[in-house]
Amino acid sequence: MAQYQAVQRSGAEKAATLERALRQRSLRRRARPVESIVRFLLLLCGLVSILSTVGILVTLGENSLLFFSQRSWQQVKYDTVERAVVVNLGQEVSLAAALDAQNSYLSLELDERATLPFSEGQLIELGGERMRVMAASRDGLEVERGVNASQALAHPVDTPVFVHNERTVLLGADLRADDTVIHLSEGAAAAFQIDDLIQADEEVMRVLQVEPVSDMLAVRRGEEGSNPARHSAGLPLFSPSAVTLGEFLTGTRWNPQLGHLGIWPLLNATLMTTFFALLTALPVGLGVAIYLSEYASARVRSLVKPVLELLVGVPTVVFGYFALTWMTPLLQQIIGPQVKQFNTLSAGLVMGIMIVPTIASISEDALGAVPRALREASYALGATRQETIRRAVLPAAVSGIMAAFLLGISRAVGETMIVALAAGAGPNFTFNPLEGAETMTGHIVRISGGDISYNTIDYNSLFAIGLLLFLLTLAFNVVSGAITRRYREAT
Amino acid sequence: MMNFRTILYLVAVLALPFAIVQADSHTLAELVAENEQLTTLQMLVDSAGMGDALAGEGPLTLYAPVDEAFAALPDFAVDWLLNNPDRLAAVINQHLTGDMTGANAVADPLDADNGTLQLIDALLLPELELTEVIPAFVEGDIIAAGSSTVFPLSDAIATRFRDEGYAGNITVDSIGSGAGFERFCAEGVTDISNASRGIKDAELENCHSIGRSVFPIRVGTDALAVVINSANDFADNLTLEELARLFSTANTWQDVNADWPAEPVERFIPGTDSGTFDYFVEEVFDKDQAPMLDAARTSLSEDDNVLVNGVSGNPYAVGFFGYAYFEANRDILKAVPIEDVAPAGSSVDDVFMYAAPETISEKPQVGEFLNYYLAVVNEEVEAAGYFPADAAGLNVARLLVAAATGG
Repeated sequence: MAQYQAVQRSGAEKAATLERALRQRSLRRRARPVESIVRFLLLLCGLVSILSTVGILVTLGENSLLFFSQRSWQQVKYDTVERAVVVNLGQEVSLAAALDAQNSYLSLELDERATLPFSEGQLIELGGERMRVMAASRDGLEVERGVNASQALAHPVDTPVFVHNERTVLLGADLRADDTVIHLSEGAAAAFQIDDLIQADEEVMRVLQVEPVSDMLAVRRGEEGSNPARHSAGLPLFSPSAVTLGEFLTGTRWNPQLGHLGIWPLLNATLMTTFFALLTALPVGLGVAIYLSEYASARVRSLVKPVLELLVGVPTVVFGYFALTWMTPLLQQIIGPQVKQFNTLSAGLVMGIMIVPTIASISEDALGAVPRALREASYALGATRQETIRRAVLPAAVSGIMAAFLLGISRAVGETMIVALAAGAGPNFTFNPLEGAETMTGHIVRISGGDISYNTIDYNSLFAIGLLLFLLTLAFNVVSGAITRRYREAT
Repeated sequence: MMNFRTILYLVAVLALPFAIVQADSHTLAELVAENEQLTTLQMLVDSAGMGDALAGEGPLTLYAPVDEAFAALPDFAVDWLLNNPDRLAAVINQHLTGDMTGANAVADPLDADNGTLQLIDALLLPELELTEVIPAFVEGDIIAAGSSTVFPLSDAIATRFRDEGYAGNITVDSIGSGAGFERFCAEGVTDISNASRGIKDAELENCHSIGRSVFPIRVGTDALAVVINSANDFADNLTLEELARLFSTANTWQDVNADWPAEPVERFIPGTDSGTFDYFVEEVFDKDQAPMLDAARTSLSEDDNVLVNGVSGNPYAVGFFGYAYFEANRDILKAVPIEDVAPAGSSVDDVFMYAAPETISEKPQVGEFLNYYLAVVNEEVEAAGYFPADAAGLNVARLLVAAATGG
């Protein structure tokens, strides 16, 4: 009996399954081509955006690797001892008063218009004694006596003063394509060793022999696939050095042409413009957000919000010209002529104006998302409106405001047109916001639009800068994303 | 005490080398054949059958380009000359009848029985006839891209080409010399590459690897203007030495000249890959770019408008760029004479186009456009803000275009 029932039940179940399957099949069988095309297109959109991002990253990474594996060529320098000369007056410098062996003040008495041929830290030489300049003025020098293994001596009045300078090694004489001996400027051969590589124009040579006395080098021409060519006297010579990540991340000079590849002048300019942008955008944007969310009537909000969002739509190149033709002259009027035509302050401030709507709108959303109950509880405790905003609403919305802030940073870091137009052209490591300095984006724009030849170190360096920029903005975006998520969970 | 006999002896010894030359009678033809530096010339003379002319009645003056001078002529041009005896004869004749403009002597003149042989370092070319082109009959597309400096000129000529009836598509893109060479040599998608600097070795290699034997066409000359703010009334002349200091070590104007104010100098210079920058470095800094790049308060821009803006915005700023941009901004800038020479035409920088015979034989319309270009370039060049290329340069361009088009 039980067996019969079981068979029956399983028969009924079978029928039910069959029916279900049939129904599903008929459901499935109904073809919905539009639906599948749309689904496919949406998938395609997702794939395209992911693949293109990956592609961009791969290109950036690949070219950056090329940059770090490439050899950069640096100008060869050597030390010279030359007569100290006031160049703009054509005068040779000598002691204006006798100097005994103990005195650390060296009297010069130069003309008041004279340009000083000395700088702090420079090595000078008088009658066989070497001294280091501690402070320099037209009246005289404060020096450290008897440095670099020399003896402090007494020197009579009118002793000629010599200075140590770093000079670039230059070709001393014309070099024909078939010459194998190169003549250098006086004293320069000491800068080379056997087996060194030298670059002159586009040709690479290998040093076979060094003749320090006659300042000559025997070389093998046309090394590493380059072609021996004619070079004229006065051409600077370069020696190879590898581009290292350490130099890239810590160096304070950017000049790929001369082999200086430290990112800091560019990074510093980016940070400065970003700083001034946030200095403007954060208080103004937050102010606007608080006003809109806490004080403004519905009518005012419906007027102000669209205007703010209109600002988001202004092309950045317009902001750039605004910085150049309005902000900079204004700053020049307020601060004075020390404000340069291109300066990071003006670019930063205008960039701040550009970012205000972004920060305002996201912060307003964050403030609006604070539960009404919180405000009412605060009022119920007798708090004023201001106290409510300061003590209850702002702390509750702080993570949203932080997210707005970080998004503002990544917009400022990546902003290009404003800084390209107004911040300055030319890497300049300075903390003075009134001077021009080129940001990372500005540098990429300027160099890539020019006459630069491809597959050179300068060209590849742009990708390394691009990658760094990408990583910077990515970091800010990830952090802001994390904060936004936290704030969504909290409310 | 030297006696008469000793003096006679000395004279005889000193005269010996001359006597030997005098003793062997030599015609120009023989001098050319014997000279190791003239092998290319000798080959061309033989091929044109002009050996007799050089051995003939004098007095003749032969300006003989040494082998190195022929480096300016690519192989395809030499082949073309060898296949066109009348053009070759015209070229060789120019060295017998012309003067030495555009070339320099590389040795003292040699005497021959029937004249003088002067070794020179460049070819002397006649003004070769260009193939006449009627734009309305030209078919097919032409793609040019490259330097923004050359753009106004090429664009003006392309417009004229269209106005005169060319019905195809001609595009001229202003993307910078480097990007231009990338498209021309590496990607091979353009027919003409505009450039304000010479082609680099790596770019040339790229061109060869895609089978293009690229050649330059000089179309104009750009003078360089050193400019200051119009409010600057003290700098009325600069020596080369002062110029070098102004763009390198000088902190204030007083460091350049003791009589000038102690105000900081702000510098605006063209980008390092531009021909203008190269030219300035070569002339003022002996090819060493370090002092200029290391100078404080220096802005570089490939965009001449940025430089104009910079110099006009600060009374103590200084800059340099192509003369064309100074002309256009005369009202807000001043040009400083260098060594008492005003900028117009004094300092020069070449304006080029690059093309390849291979693309020309594949796309004859490119050759036709180049012929047209050279025929009208001097009428358009000044309106575009440049000076005409010198005659020697244009003649080389004419010969190369003729050779590449087989005209």
